[in-house]
Amino acid sequence: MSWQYVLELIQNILITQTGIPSLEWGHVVMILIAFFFLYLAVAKGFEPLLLLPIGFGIFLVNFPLVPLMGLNPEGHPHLIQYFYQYGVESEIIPCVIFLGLGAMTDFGPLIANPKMLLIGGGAQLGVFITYIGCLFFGFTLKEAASVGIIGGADGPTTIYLTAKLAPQLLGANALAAYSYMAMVPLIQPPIMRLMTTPEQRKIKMRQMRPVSAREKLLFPLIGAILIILLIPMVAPLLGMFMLGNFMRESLVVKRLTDTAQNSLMNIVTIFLGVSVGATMQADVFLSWKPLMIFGLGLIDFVVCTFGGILTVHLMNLFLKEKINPLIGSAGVSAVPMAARVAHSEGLKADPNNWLMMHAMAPNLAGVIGSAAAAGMFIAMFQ
Amino acid sequence: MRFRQLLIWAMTAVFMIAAYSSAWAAFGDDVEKPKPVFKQEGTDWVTELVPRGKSVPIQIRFHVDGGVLTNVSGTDFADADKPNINWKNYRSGYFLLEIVPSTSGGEVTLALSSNYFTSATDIWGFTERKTKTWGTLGIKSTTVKGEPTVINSVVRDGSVLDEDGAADGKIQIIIGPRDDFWGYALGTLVIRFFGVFMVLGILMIGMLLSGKVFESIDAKKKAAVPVPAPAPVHHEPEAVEPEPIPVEEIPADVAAAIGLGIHLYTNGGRNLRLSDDGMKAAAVALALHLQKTSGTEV
Repeated sequence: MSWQYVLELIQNILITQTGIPSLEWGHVVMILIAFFFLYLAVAKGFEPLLLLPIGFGIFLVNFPLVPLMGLNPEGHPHLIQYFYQYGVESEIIPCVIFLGLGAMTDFGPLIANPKMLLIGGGAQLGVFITYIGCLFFGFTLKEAASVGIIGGADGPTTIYLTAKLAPQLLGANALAAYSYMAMVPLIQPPIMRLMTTPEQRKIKMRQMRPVSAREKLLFPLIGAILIILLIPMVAPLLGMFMLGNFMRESLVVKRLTDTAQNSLMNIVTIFLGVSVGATMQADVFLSWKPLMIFGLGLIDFVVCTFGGILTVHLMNLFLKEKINPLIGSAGVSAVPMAARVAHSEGLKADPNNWLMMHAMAPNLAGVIGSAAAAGMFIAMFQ
Repeated sequence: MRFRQLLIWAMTAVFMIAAYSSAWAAFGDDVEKPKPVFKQEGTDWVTELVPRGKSVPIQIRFHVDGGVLTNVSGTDFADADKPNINWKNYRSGYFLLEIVPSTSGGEVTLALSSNYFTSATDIWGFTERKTKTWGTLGIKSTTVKGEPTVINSVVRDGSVLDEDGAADGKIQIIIGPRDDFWGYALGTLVIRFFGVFMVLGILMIGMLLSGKVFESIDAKKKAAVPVPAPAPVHHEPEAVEPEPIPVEEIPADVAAAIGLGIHLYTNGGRNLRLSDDGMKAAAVALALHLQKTSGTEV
């Protein structure tokens, strides 16, 4: 064995069996992007449950030659491709997350004050405005719908709709949705102050009526009947949501409720985050489209907040007992972050004004509203 | 907070650059481009394709009266070489039809039918070959409930619509079923936005009604609970004045606990920076303390 042969062997191994020669600038950029999201998750605490696995997913798939996404030579999916295929592409994980969300949700504030549902509708304004904006910038109809839903501030709904309509935008849409959901305390207050007077911010709302356990138990059934009859396309999402809520309110399946709220939710969150992150490979992600999505997503959030507050102002024209317009911003369904923001802005205006429970009602309405908007889009593109 | 503001500004800047760039930049692959598949059924041709903005395939049937439809194929947007045409208006693409009329220079009636067409669907093609002017063929649309919409148009061999422009017994025509893209997009936008309101409004009405029912049931239940009879009044021979507790008998720790209770009540615990749970815990501790030290049931 000559030195020449050994050197050739080493060279051969380096070229064909390591990723170093195949490393391109795009990979490096994507790894830096991954670091940025990991930093946001770990150091800044921005939606860490999602941004951490998403960031790590981006990090992992942006090394050359890694067998993580795509198919192997025998035609079998690689590891994360399996997660993606069975979890996201088949739309299982977003629906399972909705099951968990339903099991965590107390609909009491919304049942006590059903008028708040209209705010959840008004806060979808940004979804539709952004849809038009996307078309203007050259997105296709389906892509525009999937970007528009970001403003609904509902991560699973965004992922569900995007996986169905524009899977090529899944990574960018999910990242934009979760990033802006984490930044709700920053995005919303200036708009809230701009759209309300100090007197309006001080409006005190009457304490809500108590809601009986029986009423809470029947809500998921009544809600499911009405919504699914009107928008059958939303049945996978809202059906699971209402199942989770029915389990919770029935009080007879505490173990199942606990599993849906905790273990199951945590497991699927890991797979969802990694799968979504893994869709962001350099050759797919590095274009103007994701940047546009981030820009339009921000506008989307702003218009949705505007829409929610505007709806309250319109409702107040007809109501004897005025609603504090600050809670209109909670119509975007970032639960419970948006409600907390409304509450804290209310406290700033009047230290004795407790809006938290009032703001939870439009917040929950926003979840239903964004799911309804998603169902509308799915039906439109059938 | 400064970092967050910086982040927002950075994102806004990136968006502005991206928006500016997209004015000329090619915008990714055309993932929704229809890929029609054709088959012949008797004298008709049928194509199946997924149009832009749809997820499920549709069918378009091509039929000709007064001639024989020999072939139908899809024409690429670029190959069609039609400047000034917004392809977004042609969601099912363009088609090249080859027809042999019964007589050279004769007329044929072209019929396109599909469940996908609406009463607003038009068919456009070249209305002026030399200048490549693209316009409506002049159609007659028929929509019968439950049946596919049929669009008819008359084409003459050698007319401006004929690609070869000669009355040679062969008609080649490039056409595209046209629906106004922005009309569709804006129309559906308005309908669907109000659709969300309608759905939530119906849910609201349902919840208001069920809420009234539950409230009345609860009120009836409350009314049905028997009110305990008032205890018989005993006439005390002489009202005994309770002895005032001497100030010195209240221990200092009890006084402090009462003070804390009053403070929590009036300030909601905010000055102490207590959370809701913290306030509850303090209140419970106070109650237990009073119960233990003063023997009072709290």
